[in-house]
Amino acid sequence: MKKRKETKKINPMLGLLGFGGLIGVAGFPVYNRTGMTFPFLFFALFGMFGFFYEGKMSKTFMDERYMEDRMKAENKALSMGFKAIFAGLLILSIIENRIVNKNIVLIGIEIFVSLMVGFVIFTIEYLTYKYDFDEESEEED
Amino acid sequence: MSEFECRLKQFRLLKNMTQEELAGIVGVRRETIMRLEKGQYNPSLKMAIDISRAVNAPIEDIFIFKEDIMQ
Repeated sequence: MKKRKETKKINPMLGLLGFGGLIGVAGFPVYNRTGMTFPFLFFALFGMFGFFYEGKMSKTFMDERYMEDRMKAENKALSMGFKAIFAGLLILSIIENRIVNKNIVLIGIEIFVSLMVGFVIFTIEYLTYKYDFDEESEEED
Repeated sequence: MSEFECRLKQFRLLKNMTQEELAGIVGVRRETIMRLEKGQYNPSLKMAIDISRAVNAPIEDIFIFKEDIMQ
C-alpha cells in the first residue's frame, strides 16, 4: 500500500530556538578580543523561529496543493532574500569608501548575509503556513 | 490563469459524499476539496480526472471556464 506522505512532526515550541540568533551579538566582543568573526554567523539561527510555523503544520498530508504552496513560498522567500542581499551589498559598496577600516565592511556583509539566511529560512515556513491557512474557510460538511 | 466555476459540490452531493470521503478517494486533503468547490484552487489535470471519476461526471461539466460561459 502506498504510504501517505506527511510533513515532519515538530513541536512548535522549538521555534524558541530562534532566540539562538542572539548568540550572534557575541560576535562583537569576540571580534574585539580575538579578531575572529565566526560568531556573527549565528545570526542565521533567527531562522529557527520558522519551527513555530513548521510545527503548526506537523503531520500535514502533502498533497498537490501543499506542494504547490510550498514551492510558491520557497520562490517568494528566496526572491525576497536575494533582492535584499543585492540591495544591502549595493548600499555597502556605495558607502564603502567612507569607511576607513575595511574589516568593518566585511563584518557588515557577514552579519547581513547571515541575517538574510535566517530571514529566508523563517519566511519559507511562514509563507507555507500562511498560504495554507489564510483563505481557509469554515467547514461545510 | 483562466477563471473558472467549479460545480463539484453539486456533483458530490448528488453522489451523497462528504468532502472528507471525496478527499480520501482522490488522495488529497479535505481543505483542498473545500478550496476546489469555492473555485479558489486550479487543480492539475490528474486531480481533475480523479475527481471526475470519483463523482462520475465529465470534467467539462465540473469545471466551467468563464470563456465557455460567455460563448
